[in-house]
Amino acid sequence: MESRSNYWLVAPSALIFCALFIAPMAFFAVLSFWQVEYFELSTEPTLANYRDVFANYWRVMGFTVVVATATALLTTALGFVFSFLARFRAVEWAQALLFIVLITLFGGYLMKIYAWKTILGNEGVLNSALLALGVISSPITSLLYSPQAVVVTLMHFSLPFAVLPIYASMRGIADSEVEAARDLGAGRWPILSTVIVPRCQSGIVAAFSFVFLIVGGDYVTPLLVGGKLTMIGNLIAPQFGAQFNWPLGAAMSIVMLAAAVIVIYLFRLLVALWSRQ
Amino acid sequence: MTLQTPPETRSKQDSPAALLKLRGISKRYGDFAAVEPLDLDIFPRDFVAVLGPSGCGKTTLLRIIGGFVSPTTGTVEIDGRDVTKIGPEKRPTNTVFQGYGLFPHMTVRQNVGYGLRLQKKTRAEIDDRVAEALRQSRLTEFADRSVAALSGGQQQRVALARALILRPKVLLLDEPLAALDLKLRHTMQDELRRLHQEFGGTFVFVTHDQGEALSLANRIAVMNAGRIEQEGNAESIYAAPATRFVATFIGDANLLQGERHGGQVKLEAGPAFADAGPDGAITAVVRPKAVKLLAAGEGADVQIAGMVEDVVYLGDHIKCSVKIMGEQQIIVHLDAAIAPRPVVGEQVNLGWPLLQQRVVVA
Amino acid sequence: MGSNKSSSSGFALTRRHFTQAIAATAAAGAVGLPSTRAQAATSINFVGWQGYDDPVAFDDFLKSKDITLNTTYIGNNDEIVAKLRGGGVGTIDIVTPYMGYIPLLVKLDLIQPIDVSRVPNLEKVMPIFRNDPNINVDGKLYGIPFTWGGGPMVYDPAVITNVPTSWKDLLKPEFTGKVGMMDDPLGNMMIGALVATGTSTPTKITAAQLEQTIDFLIEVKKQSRVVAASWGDLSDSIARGDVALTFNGWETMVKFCGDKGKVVQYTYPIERTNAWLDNYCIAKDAPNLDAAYELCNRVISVEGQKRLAEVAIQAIVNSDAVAALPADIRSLYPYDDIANYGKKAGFFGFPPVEPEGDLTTFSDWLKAYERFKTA
Repeated sequence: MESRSNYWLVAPSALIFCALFIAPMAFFAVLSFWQVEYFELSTEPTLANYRDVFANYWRVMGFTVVVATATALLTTALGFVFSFLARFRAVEWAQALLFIVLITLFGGYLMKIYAWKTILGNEGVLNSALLALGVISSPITSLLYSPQAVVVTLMHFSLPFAVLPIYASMRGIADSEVEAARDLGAGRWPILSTVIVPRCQSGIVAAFSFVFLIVGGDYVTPLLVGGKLTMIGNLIAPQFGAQFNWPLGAAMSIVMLAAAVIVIYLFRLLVALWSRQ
Repeated sequence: MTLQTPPETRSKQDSPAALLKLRGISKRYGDFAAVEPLDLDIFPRDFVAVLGPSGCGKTTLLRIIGGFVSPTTGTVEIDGRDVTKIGPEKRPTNTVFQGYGLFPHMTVRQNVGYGLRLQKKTRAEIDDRVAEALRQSRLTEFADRSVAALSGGQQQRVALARALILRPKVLLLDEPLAALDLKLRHTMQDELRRLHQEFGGTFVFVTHDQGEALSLANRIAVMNAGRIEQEGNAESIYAAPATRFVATFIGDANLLQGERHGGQVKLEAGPAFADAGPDGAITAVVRPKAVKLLAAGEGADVQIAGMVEDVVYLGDHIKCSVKIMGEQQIIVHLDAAIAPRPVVGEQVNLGWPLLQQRVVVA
Repeated sequence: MGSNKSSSSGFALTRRHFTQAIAATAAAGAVGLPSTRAQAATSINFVGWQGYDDPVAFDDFLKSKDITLNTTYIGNNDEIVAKLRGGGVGTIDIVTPYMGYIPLLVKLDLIQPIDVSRVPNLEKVMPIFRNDPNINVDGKLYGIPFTWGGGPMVYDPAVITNVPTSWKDLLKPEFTGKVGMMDDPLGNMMIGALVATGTSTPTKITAAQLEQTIDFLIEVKKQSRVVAASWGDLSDSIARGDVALTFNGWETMVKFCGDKGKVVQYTYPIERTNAWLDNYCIAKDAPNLDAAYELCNRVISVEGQKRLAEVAIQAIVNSDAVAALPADIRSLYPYDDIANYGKKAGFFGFPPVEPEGDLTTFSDWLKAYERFKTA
């Protein structure tokens, strides 16, 4: 009786999960084995899309994975430091710090991108300041329209997604655990590496995953601050628009998703290895 | 049970044998004084209880000893070395925290071996010592379980083993039994006593429970409002409370207000007796067990007449409440076998010897 | 398929001008659909770029004709094809394709020829637009051209004193890092084909020519700092001083940059550039044919055209409307020498959609364009 009623309780969330996650994925999976020719969808199963992906897009995909991994690592580290300060160092400011993090979520995606354009451009805030200070004599043109600009912008955008899960898991660490570690002879670094990081494993992996997936799927930031940069999202998006090749887009998405799963799994493994006692 | 030298004078002497010496230790948080300047000596193999109500500063004092709080004034010396500026990770102390502070991501074995691993001991030594510690704490069968899967008492034992394995000069325990239920508390008291004896170390624990302090500690420091009001062994503190607070905090006590003038004390309830000391308000403290029901014509150093108000049989003794002059009440513990038993409404004469009475200022 | 000029201009319009302009004139209540109506109105189904409905909807014209507009905005021209093929025939009245799509729409039998006698304002449409071969199929007119534009080279005269005359000049060392490109596959490839292959029909090129075209685009990309996402962004890059001259462009960028406080000019290099023309077309089996003709006539009326020119800063086709424009707006586009516009830009249209001899198809183009994107 009881177990049956429990099933009913999870039914709505299971339904939502299926409708919002499983069904579209399944649709994409099926779609990726079809083909489009002259606006006509051919449902003849084919591996042509996957062959195309591995033959022509592996380089961009690899670059995207590298950018996403770098951004996710940096953002996770930054999010960790931020959370650490809020949880252990500036406890009385924790609420304010988190409020600021949340507020930046409301800032909007494009606004942040344009803010960084304003900061990093040839006549931008940074160059103007450096010129005025006499540090440089002509603008550093590589600030904007570069991979670094993409990474910085995406870090700014995704930082809240890294801070929130890490801070949440740090909240689960009792002060007495940290004090016990100190008491048993642990200095700053051992406390961090043997207690805090292992205790935040799930938060750290969640943060990394969020950021990786945000970056891996992004196609607006590279367009606007990347200059000539192309990431896989820039090639996937047109498949669903201008190029009208949903099957190829689906195949690209699924390969990228697989790559993301692998990278995230590897990162998880790394964190777990680190945390092993 | 005799009058004792006031203990304050003893703790101020610089005893060369003291293992832990606190000198002029105080802690202020802004305007609030958590600990008023105080001295305390703790000797090797002592089992010291710092006893006091919540907010009296006892935990702050323990954290100062452990190195988690740096004192506003004063020094902490352990085994002849000034450790005031040394952090907990380098102090020869270990702490059993109130919430235990076990690492939930580690097994019991990993928790117990944590400190040794930090000391970079060899694998073999760590394994041996951990196995020994687990055996001593009767945790061997739980060695590879997650600490989250243990009961409160087992967690307590892990915390103890984890601290003791490092052979601290002083083991600090913060309300070690507070989180346990009554039955477990008694078991753990025995366990702590046993560990103290087997380990042969020096334990300091804070508690708000006088029973715990009396049963575990060979020395007790009673704290109130940031001060140590009295420090000594259980008997002396019980028999000769130095202050009114100590008298009421430890055991039942009858308190009788009075006035001293020129070495003569006059209690508000009537009796008068000689007692040397400064002039002014005093309180006479007498334990219920010391008060006798006087037979007709029987005398005593201090005598008061009253009327029996209540008689309760409590198995090993009879608790008798007697109303005396000025709406005051005196509790008397009588032998359960007494005959005839006093009856409610009966007029009685109470008395006790001066030796079993303690006069404290105010 | 093609993210051609109009697709991008649609974005620019929406983001930069249209919403602002419309908000400013909202007091007129122009866009509010009447809700109190005595009798059932004709509800016309409009599928097109956001903003392309404004010239007919901004005043009380629709109300006076008792027409309500049911608009569906598109994100690219393919949606027109997709919507018509996916059950839109028989319910959609008006679509607004790029002229290059019209032959395809005719071939797929998705739009119907215009009865020119029902669109009297066509008389005022300048011949260069009215007679464009893309919109005239088998001697019949299939679209009402109402707005257009070209892809000149836009430059910052404060930085560029030695103004290029050829697109090839962009490869000169002096311009390294100063070029801004636009992520406009069709426009880029047509200009690229003009320059790299010397063809005069850049929509009809072979695979080898397509490779040459992409090679040239990659050369230009090496000189560039940015491949911009929209005309607004490209204008931004010039206005911020990040780039000083462009490959592919739009006359309206003069206005976009001007609004950001940057004076820019444009030039048509000797190889020419591509131009585009957007149209009102009547869908096959349009359910509200009379109303559809009203709209077709209205969008090229003096009022509708002035609105388009003054609010959306789009180029217009009605010569009377051009004459009525304020000088500053009129000067944005080369109206004065419009008869010779063909020497500067071509309305090339669209590459083949299906295989046609050894010519490359639009699919081939987009595939090839990815090589440029990832270079």
